Amino acid sequence: MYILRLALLIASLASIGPLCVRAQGLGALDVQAKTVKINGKSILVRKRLYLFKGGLKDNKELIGRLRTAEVKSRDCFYTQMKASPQYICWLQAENCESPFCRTVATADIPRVPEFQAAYNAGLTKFRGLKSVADDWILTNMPAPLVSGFFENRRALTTSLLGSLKPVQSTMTDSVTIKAIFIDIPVTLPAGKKTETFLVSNIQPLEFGNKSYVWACEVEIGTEKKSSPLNLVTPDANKPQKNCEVIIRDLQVCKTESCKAT
Amino acid sequence: MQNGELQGNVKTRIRIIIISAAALAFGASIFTVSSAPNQLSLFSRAISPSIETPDDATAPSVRGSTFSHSTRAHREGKYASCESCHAIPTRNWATARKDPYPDVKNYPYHPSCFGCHAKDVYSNGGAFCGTCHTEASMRARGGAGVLPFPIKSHAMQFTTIFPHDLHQNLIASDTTRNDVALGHFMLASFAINATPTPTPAAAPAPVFYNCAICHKTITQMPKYVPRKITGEKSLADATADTFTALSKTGADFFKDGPDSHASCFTCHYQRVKPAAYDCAGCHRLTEPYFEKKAIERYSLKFSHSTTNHVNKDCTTCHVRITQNSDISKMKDADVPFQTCSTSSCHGSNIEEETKKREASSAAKQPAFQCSYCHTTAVGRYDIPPSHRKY
Ligand code: HEC
Ligand code: HEC
Ligand code: HEC
Ligand code: HEC
Ligand code: HEC
Ligand code: HEC
Ligand code: HEC
Ligand code: HEC
Repeated sequence: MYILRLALLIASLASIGPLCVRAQGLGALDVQAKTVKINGKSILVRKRLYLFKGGLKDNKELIGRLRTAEVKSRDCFYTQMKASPQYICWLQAENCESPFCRTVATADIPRVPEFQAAYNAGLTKFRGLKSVADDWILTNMPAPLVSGFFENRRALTTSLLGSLKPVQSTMTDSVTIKAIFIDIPVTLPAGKKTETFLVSNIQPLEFGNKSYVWACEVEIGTEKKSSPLNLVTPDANKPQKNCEVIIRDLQVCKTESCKAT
Repeated sequence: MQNGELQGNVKTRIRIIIISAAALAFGASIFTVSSAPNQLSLFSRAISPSIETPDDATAPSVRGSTFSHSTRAHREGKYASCESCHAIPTRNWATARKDPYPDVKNYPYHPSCFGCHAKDVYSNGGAFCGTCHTEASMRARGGAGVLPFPIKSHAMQFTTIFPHDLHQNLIASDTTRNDVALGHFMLASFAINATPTPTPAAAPAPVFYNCAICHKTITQMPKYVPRKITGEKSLADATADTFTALSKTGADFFKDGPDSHASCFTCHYQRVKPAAYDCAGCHRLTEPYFEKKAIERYSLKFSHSTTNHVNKDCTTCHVRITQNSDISKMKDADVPFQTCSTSSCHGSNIEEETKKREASSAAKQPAFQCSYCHTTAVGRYDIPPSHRKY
């Protein structure tokens, strides 16, 4: 594998030409996100982070798009898709964006009209096999309620990125709550030991009635050790100089409140 | 009807009618049983009496050889659509498995072939029937007389398309729970054997739902082999391996992966694209190949089930899986060395082994073979650059 990487490196070196030979190498970045907490809970768990070349200034246009993005809240999305209040509450109970994030328990079926209808349809379609009707409940639900929100957010991400191509993207894990980028192609500017990159979640993260986007600058070198970046909870009194955190109020659409389950 | 919604058997029936109609339009000269050769009498009782044949000029000649998806006639025109041959679900789905679900568990049926291959059907004592039947003759029978589908001894003709990145955006991003019980996304049939291997950890291991719906800990010792090292120098001959109690390769060291539709059709059966009938949405035609029957490893001493591994999220080590959009581009399990060598975990192990290796070469002695993670099949090679960044 590393032979391939080496070949790539040589190829990219060759393309720069003999006049400006800049140091090239591979860097790594550890993004620590455990410290980002709201109401005492780490919220950047299993979230996708993107890595871009250049710092905040170089990516002004992207930041502009992130600031003005039109973000539809989950509840508003599902309300507009005519989801039942029971379904919206079922999603909310586990802070889920879509039904893919939790199992539909057998006990949930009679409680949520969409599940009951899908189960009944499944029984007819799957020769009365209860196990299949139950396990495949999502295949008999209206598509907008299943993958609609995912598609909405995917479209939002695509429009926010515009023509910008991330260098890499990865997700934070749920135990160490870190995102690790490795084999980042780094081109060191003359006289510098690091190159500036930008890390952002791009897709606004919904929590409470607000949405959050981080965009943080980080210096990445080609030394042995990974470069670290700590994402922190936004604090109006302590703005971070290398980070822009965009917090916006979301429109509230929920009509009924959910009972705790 | 939602997009991609299947109408079960109704759809299948319509499909067959379309095929016969198209075969007619193909310029077929219809012949009847009476005009066919002698051995047809057996055959004619089994299937519908009118069979269409195409022009002689285009009629293929086949002698019971293996069906290839690459053959032009099999993938052009209306056959570019996999659906033109493969029905989903097949009529036998409810009886084909112990825990059945609607699936492709059988061959395409006669009308998918007989139009073009009418000549073959009657030639060579019905050798053509052997493509799908146990009996390669006109005495072929249905039911148990049909070979198990797919034929495991045949080379695979497709690779699987599965983007981990998109599916992680979908499954992983919402949840903050790891302890969700398995079950509903997965059919019981997908679970291997009933009794799971107990993990050394006393507490039940967390289930990382976002991966575990498709990859589970193996419960019966699989075949395994050390991965072949290419492009590096072997510095010594292989010696006998030594293991500690924890590093002795066991079944629960390994994870499996999907080998059926169980983990896909829970979402993709209909409506979510690619829907079940869209075979090419998940199967990409490729040079025929035989699947490797053994799990390949760099580290045969690594166990997924030890206390300090089982409690990590899968992506703590598989750091790049969430950016992978094409499994066919994965050369290995893609666990970069850096994820083991961070100082708190195995930094000291690699440091120590590197020193021993360097000392052995400085002293012009046989190269020290790294044995903490590797067996000698890998540990006797030159230290790769990735191992220098710890
Ligand atoms: C002309 C009819 C025909 C068409 C069209 C066709 N198949 Fe097949 N397929 C077969 C037959 C016959 C077999 C059994 C082959 C064997 O095992 O000997 C088969 C077997 C398979 C298998 C299992 C064996 C393997 O190689 O893995 C897969 C998967 C498959 N087909 C996928 C597809 C896909 C995807 C398409 C569309 C791109 C397609 N088929 C189009 C007739 C067809
Ligand atoms: C559109 C016409 C057409 C259909 C439908 C069709 N075939 Fe063929 N088949 C051909 C042609 C043409 C060849 C090539 C013959 C040659 O090269 O001599 C061929 C070749 C074959 C061969 C030899 C190996 C290969 O793939 O080249 C087998 C076996 C075969 N077909 C089986 C089948 C089976 C089984 C079906 C039904 C599932 C089927 N065919 C459907 C036209 C067709
Ligand atoms: C492309 C694969 C294929 C080929 C080639 C094929 N068959 Fe079949 N055959 C099937 C399938 C699938 C069934 C249905 C099995 C079932 O449902 O039990 C079947 C069923 C049958 C049956 C049971 C009655 C019926 O129609 O369901 C007979 C008899 C039969 N085949 C005879 C033959 C003969 C004779 C030949 C050769 C001339 C032949 N078949 C070639 C796939 C094939
Ligand atoms: C919806 C099913 C599904 C999910 C969820 C899933 N995978 Fe996979 N994974 C697959 C399939 C299919 C393959 C290809 C298997 C094959 O070709 O044999 C694969 C292959 C892999 C491989 C390569 C295996 C090898 O032997 O080379 C690794 C490693 C892997 N997955 C890890 C993960 C991790 C880690 C997660 C969770 C972040 C995950 N997968 C989630 C379906 C899934
Ligand atoms: C502590 C690090 C670590 C964790 C946590 C981890 N893996 Fe692995 N995984 C590895 C290593 C190391 C390999 C083997 C690489 C090699 O030696 O080629 C591997 C291999 C695999 C393979 C290929 C089959 C095999 O066993 O070799 C799959 C599939 C896989 N892991 C899935 C998962 C899933 C699913 C999870 C979460 C339940 C997970 N892994 C958690 C490190 C890890
Ligand atoms: C939890 C539900 C779920 C499971 C399980 C699942 N998928 Fe998907 N898959 C989706 C959704 C939703 C999409 C996006 C559909 C869309 O584009 O609107 C998708 C998209 C895809 C795509 C299209 C990717 C693209 O680039 O357009 C492929 C191929 C795919 N899945 C294959 C698989 C395979 C193979 C499996 C089983 C190993 C599987 N999926 C399991 C939900 C799932
Ligand atoms: C949503 C994705 C998806 C679709 C759609 C799909 N497959 Fe598959 N298929 C898979 C995966 C994943 C596997 C298991 C992985 C493997 O074996 O490499 C598989 C395995 C198979 C197998 C071998 C498994 C077994 O049961 O023995 C056959 C045969 C097959 N597919 C045929 C088809 C045919 C025919 C169609 C269309 C009617 C189809 N598939 C549609 C994803 C899909
Ligand atoms: C902490 C566990 C660990 C130790 C200790 C370790 N390795 Fe590895 N080694 C790995 C893993 C994981 C891989 C596969 C991933 C990679 O190459 O980044 C690997 C891969 C390799 C490869 C294959 C690299 C390739 O790209 O083909 C070689 C050769 C190798 N190791 C040699 C050694 C030698 C020599 C030592 C002792 C100085 C050593 N390893 C010590 C974990 C280890």
